[in-house]
Amino acid sequence: MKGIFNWLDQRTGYREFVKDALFESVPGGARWRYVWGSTLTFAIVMQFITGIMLWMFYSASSQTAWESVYYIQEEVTGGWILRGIHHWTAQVMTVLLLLHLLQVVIDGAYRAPREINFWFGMGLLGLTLAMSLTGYLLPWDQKGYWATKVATNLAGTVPFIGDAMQRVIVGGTEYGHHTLTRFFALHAGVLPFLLIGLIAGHIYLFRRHGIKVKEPKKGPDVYFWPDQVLKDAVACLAVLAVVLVFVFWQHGAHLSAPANPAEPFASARPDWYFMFLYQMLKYFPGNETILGIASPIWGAVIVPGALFGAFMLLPFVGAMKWRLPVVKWRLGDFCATFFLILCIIGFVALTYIAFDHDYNDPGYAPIFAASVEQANRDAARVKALVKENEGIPPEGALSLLQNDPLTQGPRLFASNCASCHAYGGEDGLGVAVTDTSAADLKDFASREWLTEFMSPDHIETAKYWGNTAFVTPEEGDKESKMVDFVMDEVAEYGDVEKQMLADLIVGLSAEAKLPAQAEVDAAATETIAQLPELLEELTCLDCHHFQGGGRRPDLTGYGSVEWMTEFIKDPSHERFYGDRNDRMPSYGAVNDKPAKLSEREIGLIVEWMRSPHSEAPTPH
Amino acid sequence: MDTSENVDEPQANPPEEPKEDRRDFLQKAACVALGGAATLVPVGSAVTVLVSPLFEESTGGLTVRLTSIDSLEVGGPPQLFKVVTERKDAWTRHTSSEVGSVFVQRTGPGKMVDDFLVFNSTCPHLGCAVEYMDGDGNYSCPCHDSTFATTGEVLNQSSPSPRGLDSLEVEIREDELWVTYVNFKANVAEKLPIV
Repeated sequence: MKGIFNWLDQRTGYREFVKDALFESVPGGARWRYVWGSTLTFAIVMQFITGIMLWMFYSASSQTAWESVYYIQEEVTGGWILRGIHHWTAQVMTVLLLLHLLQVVIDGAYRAPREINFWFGMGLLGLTLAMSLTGYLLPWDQKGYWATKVATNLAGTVPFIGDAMQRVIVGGTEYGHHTLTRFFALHAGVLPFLLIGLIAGHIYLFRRHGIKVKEPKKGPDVYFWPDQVLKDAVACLAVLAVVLVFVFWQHGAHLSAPANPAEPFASARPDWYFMFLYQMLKYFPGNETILGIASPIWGAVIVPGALFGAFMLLPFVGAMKWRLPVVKWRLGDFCATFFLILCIIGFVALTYIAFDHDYNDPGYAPIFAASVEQANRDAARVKALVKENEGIPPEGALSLLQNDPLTQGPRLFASNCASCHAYGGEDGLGVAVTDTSAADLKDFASREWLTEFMSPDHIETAKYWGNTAFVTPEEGDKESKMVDFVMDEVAEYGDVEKQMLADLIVGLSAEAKLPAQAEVDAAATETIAQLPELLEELTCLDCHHFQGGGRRPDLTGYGSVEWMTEFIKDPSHERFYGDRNDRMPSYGAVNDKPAKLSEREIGLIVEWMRSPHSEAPTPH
Repeated sequence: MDTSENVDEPQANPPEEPKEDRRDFLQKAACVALGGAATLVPVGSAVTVLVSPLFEESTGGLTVRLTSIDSLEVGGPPQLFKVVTERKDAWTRHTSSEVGSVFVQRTGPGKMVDDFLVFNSTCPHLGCAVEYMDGDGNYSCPCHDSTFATTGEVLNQSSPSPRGLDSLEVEIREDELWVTYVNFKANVAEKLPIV
């Protein structure tokens, strides 16, 4: 055994190398304040290991990026742990970088002769942030897509070269395959390469100058191995523990719905450590100029650039040797530390203001919360759809959401129907609707809905026809026989007639073939068979049409897919309200007017309204 | 004082030396243990996903419709059919995906399984696609010159293929020919299904 090591050593000199690596002198003894560099090295190693493994599953294109990340997160054994470690280590690294910077400045390790190494460190800080930024887009989910768009648009505001820079980064004018392939090449190729180079230089220079000992020394000099290594190992383990707490708490890392350029995502935010920059932009109004330069350029380029520049100059600030009276603090160290603490206070304050605005601003917080909830619903829904479909269609997961009635129905309802109708008192997307002018359509055509509609206690309420021209006519020309019938005749019904009406409602509701009523309908076939007779006996057919005779609106197939689709297309059709239609517009193509909604869109609304679980799944 | 120091020193020092060593050793052991533990988590999860293909459930053979029996000429030359089926590739569900091809030859006028010869078109040597040579009346692999008779067995003794073409199980369902498509391990004499 020893012979082999001797053979190896004679050819490589590895013993000398190991000895140099391990027996670095630590003057004054091992200390906890020296661990940050080692924890960062550990974090980088974790990122390389987990990153390469993620690489084995990741597929960079706009139809496969989200899909492959979903696969890692949900289907690969241990995939969520792997992705979780990668995500949360990136978060923790940012904190470690700040702690490292803080320690370096406070201990005076940033000034001569260590200026260049300080710059290397600042370079590493920038590279790490660039890694975070490029990695944020790769899952191609709503969150990453919209947040990164902001970042690349900011790059575009850089004077002179901005446009070209943005186009080169994005791989064209629009986000697409090339954006992902470029970001991935940066994230997994260019940036790690530069990172390794700078780390090598950083460690080399660190070893050349040695530790900047914090005075007073606490004990005798020791070697790096094993005294400091032990402290470093404990710190690394603590870092890992923190990461794992987040990994298990969050079950990996969050993956929002697949990126959709047509679906705005109001709650998209950059990672928390960029929130201060995000907040800063708000203080630079777009229509102002400062010193002849457009204000947004100050916010996006000049101020952050100047801050970074100021950090780069810290070693020269620190060179001021004069000592403050009384405390005997070097003026340079005092200024550098003061500057750093000022920056940290600014960072914390801006970050706090940004989050506070999102979560506590009375005007904005509800909008933000609704957006977050919507995003979570979509994220949960798309995952449910993938499981239901036992995989993702080749055109991508977005197609699942785009063809999903439970996702699109409420959106289409909110933008097309909710100005008059409510759906369970809301607009379909969870925002309360108060000033309706037509019926609430939740559970439309169900037994419960019809029972209330046919009740003198309800038909004139806002939930049904209270706000329509049938109850409150503007010119008196649309006063409704239906309302009169319910208010005058139904109100006088005796027990026998009440039972007949109840049976009629069971039969009429069965016409809708609602999925939620399939069971109760199947159990009531005898009652349902009486529908034609009951319609006759209760004089409904004096006005209505059913399977032949009578007039409109047609009750044949009332509330069914076909009935609802045709109704939405043209409620003024002779089959429905005809010229007695209140204000409901025709959504299909009628006469020469183009359709407001496509057949497909109307189908999505109808299917959602009829869906037994029309309340979208709660996020989990 | 002097004498006591002289006497005391050798007594005070020896017990410390082994103590110092043990402390040193414990410290080093702790370094290795803690460092190892910290590294184990990322490495462990990395290895878990790396070898995850080893633990994937087998999909088994896919039974796929090939053609109607009447469209096959009795005693005619082998015909190549694509095997098209629903397939899941990692996250993607393909509703119809071409997963391979088979040669089908109708040898008898009957409608029994024995009236058909069906081979996987993959060469058992190293997985190239075998072709049917009309002029020679046999199968030939363009990669390493293996030749096979229409019955499937290796024709030329210099062929590198260790076994004949892989026949596949067929079924007759209402005048239609169905095949259970399976691939087999390459370059071994035994016909071992890959499932």
